[in-house]
Amino acid sequence: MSVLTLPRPALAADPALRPVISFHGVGKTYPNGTTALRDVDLAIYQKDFVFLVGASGAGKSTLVRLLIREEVASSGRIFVDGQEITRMPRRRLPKLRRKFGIVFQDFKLLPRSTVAQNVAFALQVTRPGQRHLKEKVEEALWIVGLEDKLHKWPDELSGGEQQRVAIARALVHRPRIFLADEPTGNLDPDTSWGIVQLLLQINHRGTTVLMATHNREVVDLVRRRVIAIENGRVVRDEMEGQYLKEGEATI
Amino acid sequence: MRRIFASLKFAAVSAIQNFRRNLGVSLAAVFTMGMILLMVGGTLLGRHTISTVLEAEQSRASNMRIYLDDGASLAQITDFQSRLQHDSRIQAVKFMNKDQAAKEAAQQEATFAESLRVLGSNPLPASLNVTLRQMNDLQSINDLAKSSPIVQQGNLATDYNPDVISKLNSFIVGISIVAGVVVVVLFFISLVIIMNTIRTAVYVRRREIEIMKLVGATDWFVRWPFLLEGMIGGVLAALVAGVFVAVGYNVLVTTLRHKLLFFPLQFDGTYLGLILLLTAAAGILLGALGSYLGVRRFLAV
Repeated sequence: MSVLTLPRPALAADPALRPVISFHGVGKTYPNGTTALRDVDLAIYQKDFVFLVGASGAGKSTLVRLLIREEVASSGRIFVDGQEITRMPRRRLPKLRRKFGIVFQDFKLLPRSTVAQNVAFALQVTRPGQRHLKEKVEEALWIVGLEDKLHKWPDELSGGEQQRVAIARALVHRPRIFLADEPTGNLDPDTSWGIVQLLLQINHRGTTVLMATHNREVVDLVRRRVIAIENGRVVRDEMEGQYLKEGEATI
Repeated sequence: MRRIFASLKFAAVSAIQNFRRNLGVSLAAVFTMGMILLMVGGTLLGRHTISTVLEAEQSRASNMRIYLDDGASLAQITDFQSRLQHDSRIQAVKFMNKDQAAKEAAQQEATFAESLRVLGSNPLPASLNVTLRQMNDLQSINDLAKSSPIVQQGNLATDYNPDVISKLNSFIVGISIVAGVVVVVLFFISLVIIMNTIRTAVYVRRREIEIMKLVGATDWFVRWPFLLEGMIGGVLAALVAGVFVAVGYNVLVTTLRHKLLFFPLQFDGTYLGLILLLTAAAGILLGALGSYLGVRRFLAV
């Protein structure tokens, strides 16, 4: 399946716009012999909001891990922001990862740090000695609606609030691309909806958003680009897609 | 500049925090390392002290005493002395009479004067103390001495002991080898200890490291706090070891000097200083190296 045969998002028609992320014949086989991705081609553009859907083990997380070079592709090439990353030397990985803002299902907050400290941490370890740290942290927390919880501890917050802190931390360095790996996996429907609203807002401000998810309601309600993965292959790529293919039986 | 300072501050704060959070493990490692450094320092000091003694012994071996028969007349002695003095192999000859011999013995051993009083007479012989130009000539001078009628008979003729030199030599080499092996083994043991301590510290902070890597912190930024923590441990261990080495060395030399009269034990302050510096350097190096190895596995993401 080549890039050209896939339905392209509207922006792709403009040749001046290079994809922010592109995969060219990417495969990933783990050392234990499991093949997680086969011959994946895809292109994601600056203003895209993409749902990455598929059953557990279909290869969604592997795709995310390849993007931030937590894993190295076994074959094919991956471009992020115009740079080929599969052969990128290790010392350049920090720069690559700073292009991304990443959140996970399990939030990954530091339990012994306050909300503000958690957000500031991302800036302190990447740009030590940064000026206006406090303002930047407050701004990021304002975006996620937690400007009044600066000095709370993570365990004093609800799950949704914790995920918002994680989002603020992922946003504070103004990444080009926002990756969310099952961000609503641990949250109830209402809270999940709030998180997705937030991601849409972030996308609206010009950040590419790629969200791997199981959450059918959210995908069907939002009606954005959907890339479906099955057994490591991209089986569907639709501009205003749904969780399941039209006419596909409910599981 | 501002960034470097901020990085250093971050590393220092994290290192101290790490050290305190794992205070038990940290202190255990510090004391184990301290004991190891103490053994290293002790081994090196011991080797140095013994070598010094042995080297003194060796230089003394080029001296020989020719013990004179009590019946020898002064003329005979003077004659023999002048013969020796004209020998090209000999540097100097000094006559020591029975009283001088007794006096010397009394200086070396406090109880000698008492023994002398009990005996009622002086059993020590007069001697010609010969200094040779080369140690190799000891054998031939010994033969020469034995052939003289005014010299005591048999084994009592001189204090020459043919085995002493080669024995001393192999002893010095042996001690140095043993000390070297001990130091290397101890070095590796402490490296492993530091590595494990840092692994514990890394394990406690694995989430932080994961996040640091995720948001794009560099390897060195992640590594520095642990290197510093290892170095703090190393310095503290060296401090512990240094105090024990210095005090122990002082006490041992002072005590043994009175017990082992025949060994010219010396308190060598310069060498002690060198050992203390070496201990501190080894502590820092071990701490840093152990940490580097301990963190390495966790950075491989």
